[in-house]
Amino acid sequence: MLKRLRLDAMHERHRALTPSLAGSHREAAAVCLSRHHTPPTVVSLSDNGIEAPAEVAWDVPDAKILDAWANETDTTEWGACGCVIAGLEEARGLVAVRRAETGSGADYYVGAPGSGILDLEDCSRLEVSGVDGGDQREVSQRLLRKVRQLREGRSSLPAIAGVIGFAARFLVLQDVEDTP
Amino acid sequence: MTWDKHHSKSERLAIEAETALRAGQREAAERFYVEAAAAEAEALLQLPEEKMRTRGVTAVSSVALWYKGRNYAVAERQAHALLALPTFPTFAQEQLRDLLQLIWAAQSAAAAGFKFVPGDVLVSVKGGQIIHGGAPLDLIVRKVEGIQAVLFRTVEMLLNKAFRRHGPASADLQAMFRPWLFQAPAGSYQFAVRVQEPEQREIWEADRPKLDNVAATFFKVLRASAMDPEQELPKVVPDSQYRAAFLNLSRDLAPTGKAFERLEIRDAGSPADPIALFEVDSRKQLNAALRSIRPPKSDSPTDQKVELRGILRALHLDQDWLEVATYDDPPIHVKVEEAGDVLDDVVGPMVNRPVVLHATRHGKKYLFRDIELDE
Repeated sequence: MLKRLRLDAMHERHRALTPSLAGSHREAAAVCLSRHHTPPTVVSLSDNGIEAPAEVAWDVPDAKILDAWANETDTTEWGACGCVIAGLEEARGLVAVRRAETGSGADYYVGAPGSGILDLEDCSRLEVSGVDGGDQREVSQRLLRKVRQLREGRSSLPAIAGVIGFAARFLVLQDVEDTP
Repeated sequence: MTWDKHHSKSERLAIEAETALRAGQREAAERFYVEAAAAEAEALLQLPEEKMRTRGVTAVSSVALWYKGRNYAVAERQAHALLALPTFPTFAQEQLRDLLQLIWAAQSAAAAGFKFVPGDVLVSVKGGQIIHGGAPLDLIVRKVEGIQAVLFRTVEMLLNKAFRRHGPASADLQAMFRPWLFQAPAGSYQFAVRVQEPEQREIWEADRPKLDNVAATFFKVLRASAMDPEQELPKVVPDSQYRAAFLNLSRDLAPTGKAFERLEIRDAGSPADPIALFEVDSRKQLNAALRSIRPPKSDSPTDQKVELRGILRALHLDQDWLEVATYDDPPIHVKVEEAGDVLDDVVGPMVNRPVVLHATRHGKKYLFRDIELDE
């Protein structure tokens, strides 16, 4: 059976998302996808190198939604977040369980449904990135940079890097293990 | 009450703050952020020492929320108190130090009474001679000048000013929109640039929506220049004169590979991914885009294409010439004509610096075709 990225009612399955937040991710994802495709479309979902096709459907955004998401950078970031969380749910059954703030935004923490209630000790940080144009090669390069940043970077927590290329129809997930 | 209850409350309030911010309600957003910070500080108190990950994440979240709520004093105090704990996790220590730099910069600006237009630009220079937190002074000065030139051109374009062919940006524009340089958390070598708001803001009130877009437009211009200057840049910059100016300025930001290998532009609001990435190959793309928009010069069959390498020693664009001193011993001073179309903000920073000048030799005369910095 074809896999499916579920952008609808995400707040019902992901405890880190409120209805308004889930709605924002869904709207932004629809704007990003509509720049290049008509619904539904099939993306290639790659999880640690294993690829499978996955269908994604969305409502074509009206003028009001397009106006609300006129800032391309923000829209790509929000849309990518929704799609990557949906991809992780489909590929591994993991959900966004918590959000925590950083100086420049917020990180999502993901885990099995029901985790993250008492603490974050068994959760992974999700690092998301979106590429509006470009091909699969560009998406893969972005993933490599992301993984390198996570390995060199600020957190010794286990993390999952997720990148979606909206034009390329390519969503990649990769584990980044603990750094010493 | 448990960590769960307090952290959940903090999450809800932070989301409210973000929603308010997106709706342009900055004051309401700050109130929500401060309430969220207080809840997160409570959540931190509920955690035993052995829950290292959760403590680290919650601590950073709390300091970040005080910072976003502009309660800098509490943010700073809490960060210092946490860093003083001997058992505090290393990953969170690094993040708190980064946050402290942001807090200090914001505190100084607030104390001085300066306001900045939305959006901070982070510029990182990497590879080659660059070390962690250090870089050759002349290289960084050139890149700062280049960024400033792109910012002024962006403001002029947004305000529909007539295209400036010669001279610097007008004195009033320079005084009104001063780019500031800020220390940024050390990457390879990194600095932050913000544009100060006009002091007499009411004079510019009609242009406020445009001015609030300075950083966003700057990012779009540089992203299009770096990614696909031939296809994407015309969508962002329809005016061919402005487009040529941005292509020239972007090319001088890009590395040649000798002094450094990469220049990254990031939005400080989401610094994880570069918005624009200039690498050695970027120069080729930018050159191709420049060739495609320049009207071809009609050279005669006897003309010869030449490349002059040397130091740009003199120029008088109003009189249509510039002069390069070659690396010969003694140097040969070559006067190059037909240089009147070169833009001041492109060629100005090249004076007394190594350049590569492309010219056509027409009899005894050298006729200007293109010039770029040679790192």
